[in-house]
Amino acid sequence: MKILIAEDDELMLRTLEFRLKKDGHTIFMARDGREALEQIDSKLPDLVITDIMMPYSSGMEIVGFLKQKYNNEIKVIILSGMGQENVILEAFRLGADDYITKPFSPNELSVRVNRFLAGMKNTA
Amino acid sequence: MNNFSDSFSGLSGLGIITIIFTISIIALGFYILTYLFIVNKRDSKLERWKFLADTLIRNAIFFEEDQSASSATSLLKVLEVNIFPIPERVKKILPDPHFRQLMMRELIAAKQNMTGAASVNLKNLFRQLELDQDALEMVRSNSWYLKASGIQYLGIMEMAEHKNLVMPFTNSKSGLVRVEAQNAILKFSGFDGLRFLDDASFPITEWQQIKILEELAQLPTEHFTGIEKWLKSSNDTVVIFALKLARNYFRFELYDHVISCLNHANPEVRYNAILAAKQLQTETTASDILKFYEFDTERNQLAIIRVLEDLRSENNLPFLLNVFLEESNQLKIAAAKAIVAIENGVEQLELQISSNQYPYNEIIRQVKTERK
Repeated sequence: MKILIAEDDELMLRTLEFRLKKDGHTIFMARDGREALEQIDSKLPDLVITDIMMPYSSGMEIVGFLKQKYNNEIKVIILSGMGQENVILEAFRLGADDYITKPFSPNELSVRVNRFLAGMKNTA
Repeated sequence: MNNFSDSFSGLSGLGIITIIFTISIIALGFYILTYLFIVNKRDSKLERWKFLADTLIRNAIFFEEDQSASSATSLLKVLEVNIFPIPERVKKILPDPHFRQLMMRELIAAKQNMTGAASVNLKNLFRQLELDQDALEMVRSNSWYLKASGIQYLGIMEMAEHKNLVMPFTNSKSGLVRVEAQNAILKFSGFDGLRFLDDASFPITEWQQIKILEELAQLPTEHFTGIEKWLKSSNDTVVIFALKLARNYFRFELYDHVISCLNHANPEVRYNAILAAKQLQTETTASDILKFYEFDTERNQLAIIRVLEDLRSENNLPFLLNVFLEESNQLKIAAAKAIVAIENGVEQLELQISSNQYPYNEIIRQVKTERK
């Protein structure tokens, strides 16, 4: 599966890349919202994992863009901070498919992403 | 000397200015180039350091799963002081205070984003690199800013072994140090950490109260003791916070202590006692809080009426109708809302009051619309 990770924290980005690559996924990385939007159009990933707070375009804008342009073809999981219930609800309203709250365990993230992708395959 | 003066005397004023200007431009250019070279070199060194730090941290995050050794061997490794292999390049620069600062910052940032085994590994790496000693040095410094930062680092990295060192700072004169120490103690000890409230003589700000409640919300709920004592504290903000704890953690056994806070001299304490009474309500709540209605501030009277709205008891109708007729418009509206919340309340309201009379007609219309 092709996964795009949009995250402005380099360490977090590399950590997610490392973990998800180990699971056999093809990983693309974006360090800000603008780069993420470009990569979505050029790489057409199956799943986008995006942080909420990023330079240029926020995670919310990415969710909105994905749902407007690609409808349900590209799934999106948002990464949000603890206690951001309102943000999560807003992301769901815009069309986010799932969320993961920071702090998280990379292994738990891997399990959740793989389960999510398995669910996508089953419904396809 | 004469030759030198002669050579200058041969030049016009304009020539001298041109020479000075050219020399200045060359000097400036040289300065800029040197500065850019230094900045460039520093930036590339920082980038290299950041890469090394990030790689080390990433390896630590995934350390356990990369170990193919048996669990017994892993256990032995865990018991050793040096758990993570440190590359030679890192070992060389590790004593550099700037690198240590960068490593500390990166580790703290990573720890805040990780849970589970990854978080434990980061904690162990922090200890292994003896960054806890750097944080301790900051705690011992005379600068309140460094002190607060050091305590914060120890808290985030959950260095619980330094609990006794941090504890006295929970009542520090410096607000920032105090707040960081209180947060750290909660990270070290969970609900037990609330013991700092026993001796808190400085105000616990509203913001800090929110932060503490947020921190506690992340912990598995457990039965903790102390609220009863904090409800009697001479520090009003501790009493207010204790009332919030009683309310948030549904401590019904403290109901009588909460009600006794309605006698408190501070209206803010009384306000929070009313809110707690609402959460912990019993059959006697209405009569318990109404005893204090007459003598309280309008804000607290409003809060009492909102409790009655929540109770929806017909027994409170005479009181509420009286408030509706006698009190200020704000209290009238609150009373009307409480009345319509009671079964047949609207009918009672319309029976008692001539609905054409202003402002009653407007209030009744508004609360009836809101109810729909």
